[in-house]
Amino acid sequence: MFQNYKSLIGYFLPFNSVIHNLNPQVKLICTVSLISSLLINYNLTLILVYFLVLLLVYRIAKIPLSVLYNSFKPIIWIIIFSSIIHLFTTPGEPLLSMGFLNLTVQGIQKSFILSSRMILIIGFTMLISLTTSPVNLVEAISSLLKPFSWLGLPVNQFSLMLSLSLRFLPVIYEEADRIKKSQLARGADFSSWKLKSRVNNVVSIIIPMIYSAIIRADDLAIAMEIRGFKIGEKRTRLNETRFNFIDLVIIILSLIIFMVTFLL
Amino acid sequence: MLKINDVYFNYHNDTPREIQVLRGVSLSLGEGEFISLVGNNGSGKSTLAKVVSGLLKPSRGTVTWSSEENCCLKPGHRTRVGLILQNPDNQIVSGTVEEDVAFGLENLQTPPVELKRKVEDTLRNLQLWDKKDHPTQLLSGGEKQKLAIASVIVMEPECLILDEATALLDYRSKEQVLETIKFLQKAKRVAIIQITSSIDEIIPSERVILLNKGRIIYDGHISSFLKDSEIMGLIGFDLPAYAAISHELIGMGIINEICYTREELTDKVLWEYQHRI
Amino acid sequence: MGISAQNLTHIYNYGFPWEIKALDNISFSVEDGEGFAILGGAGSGKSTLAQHVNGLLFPTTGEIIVNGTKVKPGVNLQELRRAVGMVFQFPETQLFGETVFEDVAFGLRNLGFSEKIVEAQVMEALHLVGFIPSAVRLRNPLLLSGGEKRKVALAGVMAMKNSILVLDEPISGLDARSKKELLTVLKEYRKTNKAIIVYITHSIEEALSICERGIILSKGKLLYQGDLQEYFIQNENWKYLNIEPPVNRGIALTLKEKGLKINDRIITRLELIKEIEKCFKTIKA
Repeated sequence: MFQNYKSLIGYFLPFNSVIHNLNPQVKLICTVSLISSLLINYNLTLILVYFLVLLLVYRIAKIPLSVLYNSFKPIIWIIIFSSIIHLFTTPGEPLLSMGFLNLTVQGIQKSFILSSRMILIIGFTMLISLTTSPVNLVEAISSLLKPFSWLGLPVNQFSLMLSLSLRFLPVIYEEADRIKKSQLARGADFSSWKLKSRVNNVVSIIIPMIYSAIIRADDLAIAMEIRGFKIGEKRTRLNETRFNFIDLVIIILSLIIFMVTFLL
Repeated sequence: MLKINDVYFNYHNDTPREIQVLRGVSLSLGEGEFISLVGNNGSGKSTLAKVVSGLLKPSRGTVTWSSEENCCLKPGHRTRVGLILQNPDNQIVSGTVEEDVAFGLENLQTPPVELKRKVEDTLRNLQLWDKKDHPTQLLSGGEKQKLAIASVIVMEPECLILDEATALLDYRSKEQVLETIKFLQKAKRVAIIQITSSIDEIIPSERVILLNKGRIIYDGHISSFLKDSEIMGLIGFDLPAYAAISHELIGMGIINEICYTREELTDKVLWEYQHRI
Repeated sequence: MGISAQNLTHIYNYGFPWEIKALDNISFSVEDGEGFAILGGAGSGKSTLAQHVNGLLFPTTGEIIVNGTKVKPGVNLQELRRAVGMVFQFPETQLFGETVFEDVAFGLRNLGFSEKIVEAQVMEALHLVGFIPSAVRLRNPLLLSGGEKRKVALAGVMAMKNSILVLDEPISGLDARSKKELLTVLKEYRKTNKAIIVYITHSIEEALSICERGIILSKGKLLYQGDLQEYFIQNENWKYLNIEPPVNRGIALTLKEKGLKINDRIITRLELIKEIEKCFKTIKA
């Protein structure tokens, strides 16, 4: 149960650090501004600076770099493949030429920048999910969406939906896993090439899942109704998130960085 | 405190598909009572629970709290009854323990200061305070069910209904939940109605109500219920373990009374032993 | 043949900071035709261990050999699952067939049996778990009662007539009468198929009603292997195991604590009654 929770909902590592204790809204804004600055503008110095920032922040958050390394494992080939393509297909002064393939200075530069950019974006996105509990993350997303309620959008319902899905995701994942295993134990072969048996095997997971989802939904509706919930009704909140001084400093800093990269 | 008078309930009422579930149920419930509601599959136990908690409106008859009549129609009534279901995973709304307990009061628009105090009191009372920031998903089954109880108890209901609430739990979690409801009954005078199909679980209750095909066919003290082999057979109950052992010992002339707990049984045997020496 | 595990260790999320050692260096062996219990409380690793027997999980280190074949990635799993049947906790959640018959036949058809054998074995399994096969075969399994659903799910595994049957808390959550019925069914299955029963439970009394031998797990470690009755009679460590306390031995121990000179080395109700009777006879004599 524990392991599924961890591997499914991002990879939250509940340590105690400055980064962990930052306001999640701040973290969200920072991450978004860092990523968008990387997408808008990419020169070599900026990327090197960002690499330093990434390493520093991981160090502050006490997250071992092996975590980063392990999560790159599945996509390392995509990165290598795309850099090779850029290496040889970018037009420019050829350093080395093999038939129609030319290795160019521009190619080296471009493939380095592009792969670093990919690594950085993943690194920073990982960071926010590593240091923020899923609950707080959803809370932050909802609160940043709040302005849209002025436009008449049902932001409250949307947030509740988001947090309920987050609540039930691990439960349902666990259940799917158990049902899949029990059908495997009855000889179901999900890698079969025969269309008919494949369809039948998938049905053997989907029907029990739907059936239990209906029961769950029914139970949940009762549990919420018993506790006085009514759609659209006003609610008070136990914890309203507030900004403190450090939060403010960081948000201003990241906005400045964003502006500077934009102007560079 | 609660009076149910001649309640009928039909699903798909007044349509050709009408199914009668409750057929004239009457009972009354006092403050701090501990009742076991038993019956076969399809006897209407869960429907009765939903009618009492105001989720379903009776097709006929009345549900009266103290003096108000049919108050299930009024908003705010639902805090009178807490309903706990079988699967703990399906009743938790929030990601952390404290947030989940707060959910009900948030819906009632309780001001934040009062809300915080009530949540803290409840968590402390049920010994969940040290887990307040714990992710709900990582709790054990028993803790989840305790949390579900805390989340309705915080709304200060007069009555708590547990619909097979311990059926999916292991024995230690069962004990945990039982302890909690006993505490609520004794210290907070909350009336408890537990729906169960396990003979061992009815032992701590004082009163047993047996529902059969939508009618109450037994309503009385637990000791006379356990002596009535005809009634017990009707719902497929065997004697609980300690009672069965004492039954055999009675047959051998060693003791002369049925006992329901280990304490009772061992005390009795010992008393007889010392008495005969 | 049978099952044997050597130094089996299982680590979830191996290599990540959030890895969890669920099983630590477990060795045991089960002979053909044995009733074998895996006893432990919540979080002891008993369910993880069970899933190694039919290749739903593979050991991180160490090995497990089932019917002479080492269970490892790449092994012929269909063949393994033909030999090993597995019933998960609350197996009624796996039901999906339009009719009871279709659901019970699912496993047999997956394993490629002819329709004739499927028909015969499904009806036999339905009969074995206590249904009147012809009355129940066309019913919708999702509309049955809880106890009946459980029986259909069990029949769905038993129909395959596996020579090894792994059961994870198969009777938990049922009423006393259904519990008794299903235990009888299991004994019957074991006898007619000369099968190994691997029975996972947290209740010693349940374990003893169907198994002779077994292992006790605590927090992923092997605590004991051998005659379970012996273990429970010889010492009182079970008090710290988070398993269901044995009722009869509990009574004997409490009587002894309260000063009655009684032999507390008992486990069944019959033994308890006999010991109490003995005590009272000494008075009369």
